[in-house]
Amino acid sequence: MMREMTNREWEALSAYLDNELAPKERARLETRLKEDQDLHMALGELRRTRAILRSQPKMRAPRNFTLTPEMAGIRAQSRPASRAYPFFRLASALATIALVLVLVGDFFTAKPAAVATTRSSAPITAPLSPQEAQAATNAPPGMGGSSEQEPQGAVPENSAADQATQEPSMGVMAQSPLGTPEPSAQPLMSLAPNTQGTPLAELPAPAAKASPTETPAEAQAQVLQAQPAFEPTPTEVVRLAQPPESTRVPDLRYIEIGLAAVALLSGLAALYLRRMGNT
Amino acid sequence: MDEAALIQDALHGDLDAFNRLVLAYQDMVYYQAYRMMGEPQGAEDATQEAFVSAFRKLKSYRGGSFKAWLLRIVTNACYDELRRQKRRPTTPLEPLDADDEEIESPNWLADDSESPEEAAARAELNEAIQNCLADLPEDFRAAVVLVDLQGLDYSEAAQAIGKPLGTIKSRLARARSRLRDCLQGFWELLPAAFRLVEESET
Repeated sequence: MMREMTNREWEALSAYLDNELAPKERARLETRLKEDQDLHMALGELRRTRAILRSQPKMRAPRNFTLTPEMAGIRAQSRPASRAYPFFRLASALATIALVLVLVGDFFTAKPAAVATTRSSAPITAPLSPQEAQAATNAPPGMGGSSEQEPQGAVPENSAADQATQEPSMGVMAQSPLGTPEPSAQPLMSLAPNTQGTPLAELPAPAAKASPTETPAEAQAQVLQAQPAFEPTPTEVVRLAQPPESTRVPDLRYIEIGLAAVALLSGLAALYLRRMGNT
Repeated sequence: MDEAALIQDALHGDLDAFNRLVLAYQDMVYYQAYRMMGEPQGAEDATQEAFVSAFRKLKSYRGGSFKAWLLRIVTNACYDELRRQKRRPTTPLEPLDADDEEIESPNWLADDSESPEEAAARAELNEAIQNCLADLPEDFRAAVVLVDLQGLDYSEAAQAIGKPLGTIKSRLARARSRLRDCLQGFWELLPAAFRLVEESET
């Protein structure tokens, strides 16, 4: 029974068979082979193994493995087309980016408009009443005993204001008879044709009875008071907010549609060129 | 065949030039794949994969033995394929017996000078070799196939596995010693083939 060889010994024997040992190592191994029977036997078996392996006929390929252009990933005659391809690809990408930016911008600019519209719809009566209350509290300094009338005036005002918001013309028509006794109330009516006009027109009425001389000055005071109240009226805010919105939005829509069209068409052109290039 | 010129042309995208190289080397590449994979279908897949990747990686060829460079690519393709097979092991639809092996690889028997007995013995020996090769670790198998079955010298084989000369030396020695153990049982069973080998060696 042959002793087990070490890996080092197998390596030396194997390299010896292939004539890959350095002359010194080779001489040393040959000396050992003469003395060591097991080593000699191992060499014989290794030689036989190597001979069996080397005796095996080589195999022929069962078919040809030549590559088709598709397998090689070659684009046939794509040179002229491929020059325009990067342009369209870039155009499509840029248009898409621009479209996204415009959409984001549109989204953020559309937000305040949405707030304005919500303000115009629901709480129209709520902002009205504080302003009317303010107008009512501002009024007393000018006129002595009208404090009693204020709450009375304020109560129907609210209902009148509600009516006015629903049917502005009807509201003004209904209130105007109250305002007519005082001629100075007329310009007020014309200045404030909205719901705000009703309390102003109503208030001078008792004042006119008390002292007609005071009325022009008082009416002026009313006008002065009415004007600051005039500007921030919610209905006016809606009216101010809406026109710019309605002018800006179509512009953005046109830009968005245009950019989307550019992105889509240049993308399709790039895709077409690429397909043409591949075939 | 001017190999260098064909490689140059192929580098410039000339697929015909590359295909001439394919035709020149496909037997060798397929044989490497067959010995690594142990079955024809996997060998075909690995061979095709190797040529496709050789065409794509042609720029990375830095001179030297083109044969060794190709063998390296196919050996790596086999490693990949074997790893894939290990991940999702498949059972063959019909187990291959000795007859199937003969039908699928008629090239092995294409030696008219052999008697039917010798041919049978050779086929049996071949099967034994393939079984023993399959038992080897992949690195050892690649080394012994490159040197003893493909006939590469050490430096070419080292190039083909992308490792230093010492690595191919030790892997080859260990593969041979294991094959010696594995084939020992067949030596007595295969007197004719064995004798042929012995005679040709001495």
